[in-house]
Amino acid sequence: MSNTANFDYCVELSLDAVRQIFHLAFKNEDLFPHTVGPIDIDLGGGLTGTVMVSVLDDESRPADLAFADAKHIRFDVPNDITIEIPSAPDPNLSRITLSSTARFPGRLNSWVGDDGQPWLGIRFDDVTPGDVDVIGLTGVPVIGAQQVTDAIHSKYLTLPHRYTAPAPGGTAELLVYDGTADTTLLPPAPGSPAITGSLETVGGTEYLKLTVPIHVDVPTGYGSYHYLSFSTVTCWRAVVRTDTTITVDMADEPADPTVATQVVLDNASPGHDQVLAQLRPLVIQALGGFGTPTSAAYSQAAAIARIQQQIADYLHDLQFALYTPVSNQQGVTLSTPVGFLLPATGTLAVLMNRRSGTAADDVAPDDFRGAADVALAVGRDNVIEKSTAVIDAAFPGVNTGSGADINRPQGHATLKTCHAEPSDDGAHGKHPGHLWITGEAEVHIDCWPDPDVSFSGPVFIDATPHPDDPAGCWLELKPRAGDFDVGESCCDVLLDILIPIVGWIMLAVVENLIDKIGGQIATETADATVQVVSPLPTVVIGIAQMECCLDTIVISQQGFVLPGSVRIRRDGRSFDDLQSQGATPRPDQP
Amino acid sequence: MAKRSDSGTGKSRPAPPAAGPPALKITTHRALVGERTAIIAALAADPRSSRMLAANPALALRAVGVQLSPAIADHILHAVQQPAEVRSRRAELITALTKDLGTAPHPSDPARLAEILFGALHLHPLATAGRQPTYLPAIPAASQDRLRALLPTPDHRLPARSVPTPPTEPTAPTAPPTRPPPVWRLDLDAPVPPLPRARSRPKQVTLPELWFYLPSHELVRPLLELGILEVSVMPVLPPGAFAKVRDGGQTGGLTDWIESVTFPRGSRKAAPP
Repeated sequence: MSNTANFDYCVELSLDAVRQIFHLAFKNEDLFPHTVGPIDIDLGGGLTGTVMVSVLDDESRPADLAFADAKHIRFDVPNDITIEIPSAPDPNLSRITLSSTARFPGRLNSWVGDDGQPWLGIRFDDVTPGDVDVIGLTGVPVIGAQQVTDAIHSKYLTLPHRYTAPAPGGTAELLVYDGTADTTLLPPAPGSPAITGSLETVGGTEYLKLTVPIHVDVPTGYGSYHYLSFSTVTCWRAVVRTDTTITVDMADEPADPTVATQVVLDNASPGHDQVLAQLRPLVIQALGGFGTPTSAAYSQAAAIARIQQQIADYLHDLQFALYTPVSNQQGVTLSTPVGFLLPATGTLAVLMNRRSGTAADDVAPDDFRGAADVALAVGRDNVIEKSTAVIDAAFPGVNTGSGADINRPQGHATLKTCHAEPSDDGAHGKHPGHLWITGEAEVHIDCWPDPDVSFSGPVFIDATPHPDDPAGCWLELKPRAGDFDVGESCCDVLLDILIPIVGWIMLAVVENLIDKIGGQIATETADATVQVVSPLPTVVIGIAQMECCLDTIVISQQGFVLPGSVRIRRDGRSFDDLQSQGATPRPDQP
Repeated sequence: MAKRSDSGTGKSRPAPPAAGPPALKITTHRALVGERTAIIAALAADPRSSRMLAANPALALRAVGVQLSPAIADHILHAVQQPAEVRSRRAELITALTKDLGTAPHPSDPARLAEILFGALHLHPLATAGRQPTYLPAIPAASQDRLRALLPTPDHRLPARSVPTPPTEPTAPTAPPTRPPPVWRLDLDAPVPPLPRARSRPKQVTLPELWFYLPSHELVRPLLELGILEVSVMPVLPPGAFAKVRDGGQTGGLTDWIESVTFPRGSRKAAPP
């Protein structure tokens, strides 16, 4: 394990910083459509509907994310699902709004985008319904006697309410009432009774028990006498439930005599029994006219399962690009960033420039961020590589056997070897962490054998942050040789050689780091000072500007770490802006 | 003149004391060269010798039992502190300037330099306060070109920021103040900006300030060159500080970096005739 694993560079962002970016990105309709649909769906039982989904991230129902494991971010997205069912038997069920919070994983992944740039982002192509949690689901209608009866009321309006049949001496007439739904019926039913319904279980079967007000006018066959009576019909129809529907076949007269249709005539005058015999088929026919009302009747579990499936299907082809390093050199494509999540400390790590192995060898880095919002790391091997390159360029011949001649008024020497390596705080008895410089030189002395002098010592890097510069924050890095009393002129020779070289080492390491991770640039001043101005891309995902300010540098045997803070500036209006105006998104106006 | 020993070889070898190495007494250059094997052996026998040599070679030799005459000790220190050609050039400059000025120059002495400029040469004082002379880069231009090639985006750097005032505290609690470049990097051939006259004659003039007087008189350049050579010497520690090194202490100086000083067993350089 190391700060940069098998890569050269690593950027670590805190969960809080990622959350800030996420919330801002969530406001971007282009990236995260707040309304999804309409989507046509089959609700089963012949019912179809259209679905509109509104995703939310407001004050009362905020979206959120967490780091689930090394490769997955767990998103919590509040949502309202509105289902329009034009053919719903119960008009009250023709528009259903379900509210919940969908929790699903997104996988960190890298790819080359259409722009040719390597991207790190989130993909959902491996999300299965089982990966989706539907939390706090509300709004799933419970389909009971009232809802089925309401469906009967609704169907009543579409049916004829007067039924006739030939009868001895004339025509038998049956009027079916439902409250005041049809005021044209004559005679009107006293008290305008409505059809009533309830659910009963008889012999292990669930029935819809309906009581239907009727009026009968049946010729008796005795002259012009008619049998007239207000009555009620009581019928039982089996209820068929599935996980998603409830169906009642009103034409299906039960075979069980205990639940056979009953007609009760109020008028007990002669002819009662004859009338009943003539009327019963007509009543059953009238009841059959109500058809087979079917309602979507999702159980809570079935509703959740359906939402899980819909979300998984919807997410499958989605991907959200989060980060790309942007080269300052035109035409240069940087290596693909590889992301890891460190859930224990809430850290997103982005590794760049694979130094060894293949993708199969990639492992998560250590958390070097500490309490900082962001931290950049350069691996030890890279620091040493850059240091060696700088030393070789500054002193041609060094480290090759021939050596590099150094001539000063104080004397002449041949620098044979020189190396710099990052060292821990406390290593070599020196504090804090430092670059440990070692080397060997042949010193030329008149009239005397030239001795070989081996030397070693620390060079520290003083970091001075400038967080409040009106032009933007920046960090100043300045090398300082250790073990020297600055007042001693004796140190001038070595200082004048070492400090500029270490300044160049810092510049080479930091500027390559900045270039690879996509920051803007570092600058160098004449006195070996390195200025890190913009260490990360300032524009993130098109909606916010993320400004990274570095605070210091920490040198250890693992390399360099530059911790800092993140400031996010919105390109457009932010949630805070909207909140201050009382214009935060509402569920009905996303 | 070195005192010759009884043997005529410039060295004497008295009976060794009961403890410690036998003493070598070096009083001539010939003995210094002729006994180098024994001297190197004496140094090699003392594990403290490396840092002692870096601190003060003459005292280091004495510490390992090599007795040096004052003249030889002086010779060793001069040889270590500056190369022969530099010492030769320094002597040339002293001779010429002494002749021209009528007095011995000591341009590294700011008070003496002020006397020379405004007394002997009758120059007008210049308002040099707050001005920085031009220095040669610490890293030669050719090396800088190679170093720039290591950078990914040499053409895209932002201009350097100036430090806002008041500056924030550096993270290193003991960070020293910024030091000016060493005087040996003063660019004697760079154009010197014209400066207004100072209101008063300063009592002292430093070598960086002298740089601004280069166009004022033909003797300023040799004065500046000599001044640079006078201060550009490898340092040696005085006896008190040397004793600290000898006893294993840290000096806070160059010697703390020295791990070893090893003389070759064979001669990589021909001995002088």
